[in-house]
Amino acid sequence: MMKKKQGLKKASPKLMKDIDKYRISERNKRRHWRKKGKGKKDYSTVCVGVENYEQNIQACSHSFDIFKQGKKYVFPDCLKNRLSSLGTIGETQRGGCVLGFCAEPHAVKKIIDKLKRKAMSNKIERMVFTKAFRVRTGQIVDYCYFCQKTFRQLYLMGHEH
Amino acid sequence: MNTNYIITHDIDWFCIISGKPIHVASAGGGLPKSIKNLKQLHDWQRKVGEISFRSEVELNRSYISQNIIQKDYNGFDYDYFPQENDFIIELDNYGLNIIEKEYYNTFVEMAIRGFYSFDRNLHDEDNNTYHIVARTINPNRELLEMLKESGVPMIETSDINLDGNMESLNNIELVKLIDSITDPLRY
Repeated sequence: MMKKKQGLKKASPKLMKDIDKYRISERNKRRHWRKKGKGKKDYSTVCVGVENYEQNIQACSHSFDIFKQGKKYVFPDCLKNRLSSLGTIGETQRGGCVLGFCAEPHAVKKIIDKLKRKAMSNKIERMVFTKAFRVRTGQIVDYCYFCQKTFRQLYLMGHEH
Repeated sequence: MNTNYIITHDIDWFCIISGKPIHVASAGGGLPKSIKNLKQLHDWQRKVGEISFRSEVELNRSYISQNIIQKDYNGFDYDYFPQENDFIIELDNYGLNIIEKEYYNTFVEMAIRGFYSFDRNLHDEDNNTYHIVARTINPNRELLEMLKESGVPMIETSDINLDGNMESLNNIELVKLIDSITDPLRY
Protein backbone atom coordinates (compact mmCIF):
# COMPACT_ATOMS: atom_id res chain seq x y z
CA MET A 1 0.00 0.00 0.00
CA MET A 2 1.44 3.35 -0.97
CA LYS A 3 1.90 5.88 1.79
CA LYS A 4 0.15 9.18 1.27
CA LYS A 5 2.73 11.86 0.52
CA GLN A 6 2.58 14.62 3.14
CA GLY A 7 3.35 18.21 2.33
CA LEU A 8 5.55 20.37 4.54
CA LYS A 9 3.78 21.75 7.59
CA LYS A 10 3.31 25.49 7.60
CA ALA A 11 4.01 27.78 10.52
CA SER A 12 1.03 28.20 12.83
CA PRO A 13 -0.83 31.53 13.09
CA LYS A 14 0.66 32.01 16.56
CA LEU A 15 4.21 31.65 15.24
CA MET A 16 3.49 33.98 12.35
CA LYS A 17 2.29 36.65 14.79
CA ASP A 18 5.30 36.00 17.03
CA ILE A 19 7.86 36.45 14.24
CA ASP A 20 6.07 39.54 12.99
CA LYS A 21 6.21 41.12 16.47
CA TYR A 22 9.80 39.96 16.90
CA ARG A 23 10.97 41.52 13.64
CA ILE A 24 9.23 44.83 14.39
CA SER A 25 10.75 44.82 17.88
CA GLU A 26 14.24 44.22 16.46
CA ARG A 27 13.70 46.83 13.76
CA ASN A 28 12.57 49.39 16.32
CA LYS A 29 15.63 48.86 18.52
CA ARG A 30 17.63 50.58 15.80
CA ARG A 31 15.10 53.39 15.52
CA HIS A 32 15.09 53.90 19.28
CA TRP A 33 18.87 54.15 19.25
CA ARG A 34 18.72 57.00 16.75
CA LYS A 35 16.03 58.85 18.67
CA LYS A 36 16.83 58.10 22.30
CA GLY A 37 20.32 56.62 22.45
CA LYS A 38 18.98 53.28 23.69
CA GLY A 39 18.63 50.09 21.69
CA LYS A 40 20.80 48.84 18.86
CA LYS A 41 23.18 50.92 16.79
CA ASP A 42 22.65 48.79 13.70
CA TYR A 43 19.91 46.45 12.49
CA SER A 44 20.44 42.71 12.79
CA THR A 45 20.37 41.24 9.29
CA VAL A 46 17.82 38.43 9.48
CA CYS A 47 15.29 36.88 11.88
CA VAL A 48 13.30 33.66 11.77
CA GLY A 49 10.74 31.77 13.84
CA VAL A 50 10.55 28.05 14.56
CA GLU A 51 8.17 25.81 16.45
CA ASN A 52 7.82 22.30 17.79
CA TYR A 53 4.27 21.27 16.91
CA GLU A 54 3.93 18.42 19.40
CA GLN A 55 4.77 20.50 22.46
CA ASN A 56 3.42 23.75 21.00
CA ILE A 57 6.61 25.66 21.70
CA GLN A 58 7.64 28.63 19.55
CA ALA A 59 10.85 30.63 19.42
CA CYS A 60 12.24 33.48 17.34
CA SER A 61 15.78 34.69 16.90
CA HIS A 62 17.99 36.92 14.80
CA SER A 63 21.46 36.32 13.40
CA PHE A 64 24.33 37.17 15.72
CA ASP A 65 27.99 36.53 16.52
CA ILE A 66 28.02 33.69 19.06
CA PHE A 67 31.40 34.82 20.42
CA LYS A 68 29.82 38.02 21.62
CA GLN A 69 27.61 35.93 23.91
CA GLY A 70 30.57 34.71 25.93
CA LYS A 71 31.59 31.16 26.80
CA LYS A 72 28.10 30.36 28.08
CA TYR A 73 26.64 30.17 24.58
CA VAL A 74 26.91 26.50 23.61
CA PHE A 75 24.84 24.68 21.01
CA PRO A 76 23.21 21.44 22.23
CA ASP A 77 25.09 18.37 21.00
CA CYS A 78 22.39 17.30 18.54
CA LEU A 79 22.62 20.73 16.85
CA LYS A 80 26.36 21.17 17.31
CA ASN A 81 27.06 17.86 15.57
CA ARG A 82 24.97 18.87 12.56
CA LEU A 83 26.70 22.23 12.26
CA SER A 84 30.18 20.80 12.81
CA SER A 85 29.69 18.40 9.91
CA LEU A 86 29.73 21.48 7.64
CA GLY A 87 32.87 23.09 9.02
CA THR A 88 34.14 24.98 12.05
CA ILE A 89 31.45 26.84 13.96
CA GLY A 90 32.21 30.55 13.98
CA GLU A 91 34.86 30.29 11.28
CA THR A 92 33.74 28.53 8.12
CA GLN A 93 32.12 30.97 5.71
CA ARG A 94 30.06 30.53 2.55
CA GLY A 95 27.88 32.90 0.57
CA GLY A 96 28.36 35.72 3.08
CA CYS A 97 27.33 33.61 6.08
CA VAL A 98 29.36 32.29 8.99
CA LEU A 99 28.56 28.78 10.22
CA GLY A 100 26.59 29.00 13.46
CA PHE A 101 25.77 32.72 13.25
CA CYS A 102 22.43 32.39 11.47
CA ALA A 103 19.06 33.03 13.08
CA GLU A 104 17.86 29.48 12.32
CA PRO A 105 20.19 27.51 14.65
CA HIS A 106 19.75 30.12 17.37
CA ALA A 107 15.96 29.75 17.23
CA VAL A 108 16.22 25.95 17.25
CA LYS A 109 18.57 26.14 20.23
CA LYS A 110 15.92 28.10 22.16
CA ILE A 111 13.36 25.34 21.51
CA ILE A 112 15.75 22.54 22.42
CA ASP A 113 16.67 24.35 25.64
CA LYS A 114 12.98 24.59 26.54
CA LEU A 115 12.38 20.91 25.65
CA LYS A 116 15.24 19.75 27.84
CA ARG A 117 13.70 21.44 30.78
CA LYS A 118 10.55 19.46 30.03
CA ALA A 119 12.62 16.30 29.64
CA MET A 120 11.17 15.63 26.18
CA SER A 121 13.10 14.28 23.24
CA ASN A 122 14.02 16.81 20.63
CA LYS A 123 13.29 16.09 17.01
CA ILE A 124 14.86 18.75 14.87
CA GLU A 125 13.39 17.22 11.71
CA ARG A 126 9.85 17.86 12.99
CA MET A 127 10.40 21.52 13.72
CA VAL A 128 8.58 23.99 11.51
CA PHE A 129 10.18 27.24 10.40
CA THR A 130 8.78 30.52 9.20
CA LYS A 131 10.42 32.11 6.22
CA ALA A 132 13.50 34.18 7.08
CA PHE A 133 12.94 37.94 7.11
CA ARG A 134 15.26 40.88 6.73
CA VAL A 135 14.82 42.88 9.93
CA ARG A 136 15.09 46.32 8.31
CA THR A 137 12.47 45.83 5.58
CA GLY A 138 10.59 42.56 6.15
CA GLN A 139 11.84 41.13 2.83
CA ILE A 140 11.79 37.35 2.63
CA VAL A 141 15.38 36.13 2.49
CA ASP A 142 16.65 32.85 1.04
CA TYR A 143 17.86 30.26 3.53
CA CYS A 144 21.63 30.01 3.29
CA TYR A 145 23.62 26.93 2.29
CA PHE A 146 24.50 26.07 5.91
CA CYS A 147 20.90 26.24 7.10
CA GLN A 148 19.59 24.18 4.17
CA LYS A 149 22.17 21.50 4.95
CA THR A 150 21.58 21.60 8.70
CA PHE A 151 17.78 21.56 8.52
CA ARG A 152 16.45 19.44 5.66
CA GLN A 153 13.01 20.99 5.88
CA LEU A 154 14.56 24.34 4.86
CA TYR A 155 16.06 22.75 1.78
CA LEU A 156 12.64 21.32 0.91
CA MET A 157 10.92 24.68 1.56
CA GLY A 158 13.38 26.40 -0.68
CA HIS A 159 12.65 23.96 -3.49
CA GLU A 160 8.92 23.63 -2.95
CA HIS A 161 7.76 25.54 -6.04
CA MET B 1 36.66 46.41 11.45
CA ASN B 2 35.07 43.34 13.04
CA THR B 3 34.07 41.05 10.16
CA ASN B 4 31.65 39.05 12.28
CA TYR B 5 29.80 42.24 13.20
CA ILE B 6 29.57 43.34 9.58
CA ILE B 7 28.20 39.96 8.44
CA THR B 8 25.49 39.83 11.13
CA HIS B 9 24.33 43.45 10.83
CA ASP B 10 22.57 45.61 8.29
CA ILE B 11 24.61 48.79 8.57
CA ASP B 12 23.98 52.32 7.27
CA TRP B 13 27.21 53.68 5.82
CA PHE B 14 28.08 56.75 3.83
CA CYS B 15 30.43 58.09 1.19
CA ILE B 16 30.71 60.88 -1.38
CA ILE B 17 30.84 59.98 -5.07
CA SER B 18 31.54 62.78 -7.53
CA GLY B 19 30.33 65.36 -5.06
CA LYS B 20 27.08 63.56 -4.20
CA PRO B 21 26.28 62.26 -0.69
CA ILE B 22 25.63 58.51 -0.79
CA HIS B 23 23.83 56.36 1.78
CA VAL B 24 24.12 52.59 1.60
CA ALA B 25 22.34 49.80 3.52
CA SER B 26 24.83 46.97 3.80
CA ALA B 27 22.44 44.02 4.42
CA GLY B 28 25.31 41.97 5.80
CA GLY B 29 27.61 42.84 2.93
CA GLY B 30 31.13 44.19 3.23
CA LEU B 31 32.05 47.82 3.84
CA PRO B 32 34.76 49.83 2.04
CA LYS B 33 38.24 49.35 3.51
CA SER B 34 38.53 53.06 4.10
CA ILE B 35 35.83 52.90 6.79
CA LYS B 36 38.15 52.22 9.72
CA ASN B 37 35.96 51.38 12.67
CA LEU B 38 32.45 51.19 14.07
CA LYS B 39 32.84 54.17 16.39
CA GLN B 40 33.57 56.41 13.42
CA LEU B 41 30.64 54.96 11.50
CA HIS B 42 28.19 55.41 14.37
CA ASP B 43 29.37 58.98 14.82
CA TRP B 44 28.47 59.66 11.17
CA GLN B 45 25.06 58.04 11.69
CA ARG B 46 24.42 60.29 14.68
CA LYS B 47 25.36 63.42 12.76
CA VAL B 48 23.18 62.42 9.80
CA GLY B 49 20.27 61.87 12.17
CA GLU B 50 20.55 65.51 13.27
CA ILE B 51 20.13 66.90 9.74
CA SER B 52 16.84 68.79 9.53
CA PHE B 53 16.89 69.52 5.77
CA ARG B 54 13.97 68.03 3.84
CA SER B 55 13.89 67.53 0.08
CA GLU B 56 11.58 66.08 -2.54
CA VAL B 57 12.80 62.66 -3.64
CA GLU B 58 12.60 60.42 -6.65
CA LEU B 59 11.93 56.69 -6.16
CA ASN B 60 13.23 53.81 -8.26
CA ARG B 61 9.71 52.41 -8.46
CA SER B 62 9.82 50.32 -11.59
CA TYR B 63 12.89 48.28 -10.60
CA ILE B 64 11.84 47.90 -6.98
CA SER B 65 8.29 46.92 -7.85
CA GLN B 66 9.41 44.15 -10.22
CA ASN B 67 12.51 42.90 -8.42
CA ILE B 68 11.81 43.47 -4.75
CA ILE B 69 8.13 43.96 -3.93
CA GLN B 70 6.91 41.20 -6.25
CA LYS B 71 9.75 38.76 -5.51
CA ASP B 72 10.85 39.32 -1.92
CA TYR B 73 7.36 39.67 -0.51
CA ASN B 74 5.82 36.93 -2.66
CA GLY B 75 3.76 34.57 -0.52
CA PHE B 76 3.75 37.08 2.31
CA ASP B 77 0.81 36.65 4.65
CA TYR B 78 -0.67 40.14 4.84
CA ASP B 79 -2.76 39.28 7.88
CA TYR B 80 0.37 39.17 9.98
CA PHE B 81 2.12 42.18 8.53
CA PRO B 82 2.43 45.08 10.94
CA GLN B 83 -0.59 47.31 10.97
CA GLU B 84 1.02 50.03 13.04
CA ASN B 85 1.72 53.18 11.17
CA ASP B 86 5.24 54.14 12.12
CA PHE B 87 6.52 55.23 8.75
CA ILE B 88 7.82 58.70 7.98
CA ILE B 89 5.11 61.14 6.90
CA GLU B 90 6.78 61.89 3.59
CA LEU B 91 5.94 58.39 2.34
CA ASP B 92 2.28 59.42 2.15
CA ASN B 93 3.14 61.56 -0.87
CA TYR B 94 3.87 58.60 -3.14
CA GLY B 95 0.73 56.47 -3.09
CA LEU B 96 2.52 53.43 -1.64
CA ASN B 97 0.86 50.40 -0.07
CA ILE B 98 1.98 49.20 3.36
CA ILE B 99 4.48 46.68 1.98
CA GLU B 100 6.11 49.33 -0.18
CA LYS B 101 6.23 51.75 2.76
CA GLU B 102 7.96 49.11 4.89
CA TYR B 103 10.62 48.69 2.21
CA TYR B 104 11.13 52.32 1.25
CA ASN B 105 11.01 53.83 4.76
CA THR B 106 14.72 53.80 5.67
CA PHE B 107 15.85 54.86 2.24
CA VAL B 108 13.43 57.74 1.78
CA GLU B 109 14.34 58.87 5.29
CA MET B 110 17.89 59.33 3.98
CA ALA B 111 16.99 60.69 0.55
CA ILE B 112 14.89 63.52 2.02
CA ARG B 113 18.02 64.64 3.88
CA GLY B 114 19.90 64.98 0.62
CA PHE B 115 21.27 61.48 -0.05
CA TYR B 116 21.35 59.13 -3.00
CA SER B 117 20.22 56.04 -1.09
CA PHE B 118 21.29 52.54 -2.14
CA ASP B 119 20.40 49.06 -0.99
CA ARG B 120 22.23 45.79 -1.47
CA ASN B 121 20.92 43.25 -3.98
CA LEU B 122 20.08 40.35 -1.65
CA HIS B 123 20.11 37.66 -4.33
CA ASP B 124 23.49 38.54 -5.78
CA GLU B 125 25.83 37.25 -3.05
CA ASP B 126 28.69 36.47 -5.43
CA ASN B 127 28.98 39.96 -6.85
CA ASN B 128 27.97 42.22 -3.95
CA THR B 129 26.01 44.73 -6.05
CA TYR B 130 23.71 47.56 -5.06
CA HIS B 131 20.69 49.34 -6.53
CA ILE B 132 19.41 52.84 -5.99
CA VAL B 133 16.20 53.07 -4.00
CA ALA B 134 15.61 56.82 -3.71
CA ARG B 135 17.50 59.99 -4.51
CA THR B 136 17.18 63.58 -3.54
CA ILE B 137 15.98 66.18 -6.02
CA ASN B 138 17.45 69.14 -4.13
CA PRO B 139 21.14 69.21 -3.16
CA ASN B 140 21.98 69.73 0.52
CA ARG B 141 25.25 71.62 0.89
CA GLU B 142 25.16 71.39 4.68
CA LEU B 143 25.08 67.60 4.46
CA LEU B 144 27.91 67.49 1.95
CA GLU B 145 30.13 69.72 4.07
CA MET B 146 29.38 67.73 7.20
CA LEU B 147 30.28 64.46 5.49
CA LYS B 148 33.51 65.93 4.10
CA GLU B 149 34.54 67.23 7.50
CA SER B 150 33.70 63.88 9.08
CA GLY B 151 36.09 62.07 6.74
CA VAL B 152 33.71 59.71 4.91
CA PRO B 153 35.24 57.94 1.89
CA MET B 154 35.26 60.32 -1.06
CA ILE B 155 35.87 59.46 -4.71
CA GLU B 156 35.55 61.00 -8.15
CA THR B 157 34.49 58.72 -10.98
CA SER B 158 32.84 58.85 -14.39
CA ASP B 159 31.81 55.17 -14.14
CA ILE B 160 28.36 56.03 -12.81
CA ASN B 161 25.98 58.92 -13.41
CA LEU B 162 24.04 59.43 -10.20
CA ASP B 163 21.61 61.89 -11.76
CA GLY B 164 21.06 59.87 -14.93
CA ASN B 165 18.63 57.10 -15.77
CA MET B 166 17.92 55.04 -12.65
CA GLU B 167 18.18 51.82 -14.66
CA SER B 168 21.93 52.41 -14.87
CA LEU B 169 22.11 52.41 -11.06
CA ASN B 170 20.60 48.97 -10.43
CA ASN B 171 23.72 46.78 -10.33
CA ILE B 172 26.60 48.83 -8.99
CA GLU B 173 29.60 47.22 -7.29
CA LEU B 174 29.80 50.15 -4.88
CA VAL B 175 32.28 48.74 -2.38
CA LYS B 176 34.63 47.53 -5.10
CA LEU B 177 34.38 50.90 -6.87
CA ILE B 178 35.26 52.82 -3.73
CA ASP B 179 38.06 50.44 -2.76
CA SER B 180 39.58 50.48 -6.23
CA ILE B 181 39.90 54.26 -6.15
CA THR B 182 40.79 54.79 -2.48
CA ASP B 183 43.19 51.83 -2.46
CA PRO B 184 44.40 51.47 -6.07
CA LEU B 185 47.38 49.28 -5.17
CA ARG B 186 44.95 46.47 -4.36
CA TYR B 187 43.70 46.54 -7.93
